[in-house]
Amino acid sequence: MRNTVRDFRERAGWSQGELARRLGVSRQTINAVETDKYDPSLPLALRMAKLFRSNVPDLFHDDWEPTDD
Amino acid sequence: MIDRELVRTPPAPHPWRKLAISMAAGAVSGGLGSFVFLTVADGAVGTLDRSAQIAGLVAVIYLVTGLAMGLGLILPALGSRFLNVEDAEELREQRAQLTYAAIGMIAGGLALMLAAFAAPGGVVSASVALIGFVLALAIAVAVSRAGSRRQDELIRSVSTEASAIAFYLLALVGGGWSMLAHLAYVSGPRPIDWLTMIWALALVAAFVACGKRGLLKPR
Repeated sequence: MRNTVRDFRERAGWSQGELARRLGVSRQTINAVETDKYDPSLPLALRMAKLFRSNVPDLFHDDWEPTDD
Repeated sequence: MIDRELVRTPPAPHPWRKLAISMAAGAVSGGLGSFVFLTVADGAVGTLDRSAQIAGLVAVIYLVTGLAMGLGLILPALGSRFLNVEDAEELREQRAQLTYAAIGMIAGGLALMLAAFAAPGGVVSASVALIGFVLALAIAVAVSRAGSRRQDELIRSVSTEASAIAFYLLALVGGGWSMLAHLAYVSGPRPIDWLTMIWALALVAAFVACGKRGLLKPR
């Protein structure tokens, strides 16, 4: 799943360490999310959205589209 | 608007150089540990058979890794030069969790080392080896449980994946070996071989799981 966490973080002027501290996770987790190696849990994604005053769909993108059956 | 170049997280300096240092340090310490083990195993305490020697060498990997982590935690500035972290501060942030992991690695290594040196082939009596093995494993399990409470979701996910991969590897390697032995193509794995496989494949699985999440990428 692609995401724009890095863009949001850089816009906020935070390092990976600072974002990790604010979210209560490790820097490795932020790095893994930003490099698309790890999709965060829904609670963490919601926390990120709250922190950035944004929405989860603005942070995480999935190409899936519903089909009309 | 904040200049994005100004706030971009600075990349770790010379990550590949650090990787080279880590690999060299690992090779030297691992080689030294193996040399000491084989010297002891083949000299001062008699001669261990090949299975016990391999078990001991796997135990050396655990011990060297655990001791390297411990050294890095005691001296974060030095540790950040050979452990895969961004800087010394990251080691301080992860101190509690890494301390548990280091103790667990050392305890696990000691348990397998005791098994390697145990009777009937080795010099450690069976009762002493059993008590030591159980104690070391109890410590490893206790610190693993304590450490898991401090893990964040990425490390919990990696641990779960590593456990699953370790099971499949063990089924493949140990199961395959046993099947071939059952069909009388080869001699079957001995109990110490099973212990070695469990320890070694758990380590391999951890590397695979970490690699999948990009945790082995030099930082």
